Amino acid sequence: MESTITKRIESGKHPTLDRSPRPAGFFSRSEAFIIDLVILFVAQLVGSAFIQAILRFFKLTGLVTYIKTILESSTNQIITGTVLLTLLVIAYYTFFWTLVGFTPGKAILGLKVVRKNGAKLSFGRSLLRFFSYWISAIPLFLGYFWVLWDPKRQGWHDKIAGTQVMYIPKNPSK
Amino acid sequence: MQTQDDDFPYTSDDPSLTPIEDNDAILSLTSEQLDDIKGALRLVVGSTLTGRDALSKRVRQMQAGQESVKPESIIIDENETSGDQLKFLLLGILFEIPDLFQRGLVTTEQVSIKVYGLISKILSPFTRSWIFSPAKGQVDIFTARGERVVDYLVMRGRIEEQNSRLILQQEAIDNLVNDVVETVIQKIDVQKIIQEEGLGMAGGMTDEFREQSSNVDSILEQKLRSIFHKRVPSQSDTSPNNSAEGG
Repeated sequence: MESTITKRIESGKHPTLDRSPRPAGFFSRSEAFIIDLVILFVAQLVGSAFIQAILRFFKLTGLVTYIKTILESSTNQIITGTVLLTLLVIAYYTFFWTLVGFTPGKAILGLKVVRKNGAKLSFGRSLLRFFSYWISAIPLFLGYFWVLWDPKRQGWHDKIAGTQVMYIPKNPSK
Repeated sequence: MQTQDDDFPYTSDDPSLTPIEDNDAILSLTSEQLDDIKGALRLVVGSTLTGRDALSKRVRQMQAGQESVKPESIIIDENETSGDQLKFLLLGILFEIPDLFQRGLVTTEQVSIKVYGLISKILSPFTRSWIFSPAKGQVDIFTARGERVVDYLVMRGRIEEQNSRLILQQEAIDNLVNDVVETVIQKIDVQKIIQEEGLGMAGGMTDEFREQSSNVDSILEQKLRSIFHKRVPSQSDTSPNNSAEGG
């Protein structure tokens, strides 16, 4: 008995397995975004535990106390923490977009960020796209919901950076 | 007949208070088994202590930024029912218990010291008299031994606390180092691996997941377009290769 997927592949209805790349929709992109957030959260926890373990291993816990003394107020410490976290998020997105075109969340959903001509993103364009996320978010996330209306399924950040999120075709080289 | 000395596992002459080996024990454990038990105990104690420290630190951090509500700032609701009052009573008791317990401990300690002092004072004519003098030496020995045992157990507790913390840290570090080394050795070609992994995810369960998601995408857009009477985008509208390059 043939599975639904096999039938869809044969009929060419499955967008991710279809040979021709098509822009991804709002729901898939949202799911990928949430998965990335979860990954980032876990990465932050593991990363901080790892740093603490390293500091303890080399008996450098005094360094942390010293840094905390330099930062003095808890406000400064919160600001520093936020800056470090933002840098982690920027590094995560730009690294994956530039290197392979998709973050782990997008990879799970079979999505890829490309330029309008289908090429991979440069580092500068990845940065531009990342900061455009905030522009999309300012008017009550209207820039994200724009994907639902737009004929090319582009959000504001896509339009600003000149990018599109596509379904990854199965075995494109074949 | 067994004396109290025989029951007690420590020799009074040995400064290190080494336990006497019980050769007649029926259920004996090997030193490895004992080490395993101690190791497991250290893991449990270490986890508990580390967890407690982390929790206490977190709670203190949370409380540091919070101002306490003062009684004068409380406005009592006129419609407060007896049920509400019962709830507040229970909450009051709940939050008063730690203070009561603390006060109780302090009081008990003070009373114990006073009672001990009083009894010593009352008994002093007897304990200092010649009648008590034959037993005095023995009592002093017992007292000294008791103090030494307590000191030993306290020191043992201190050592084991540190051991427990260390074993947990060591365990965590070992695992982390192993994981990192394994990842670095096995995944040197990061880009290739990520690419393959990403594309490879198209197999099996992820296919079904992706299919469902893309179906929801289409349904969402269809619904929305039917509301706004918009046309469904064609393939030529959406393909990146057919579009002009954007800035």
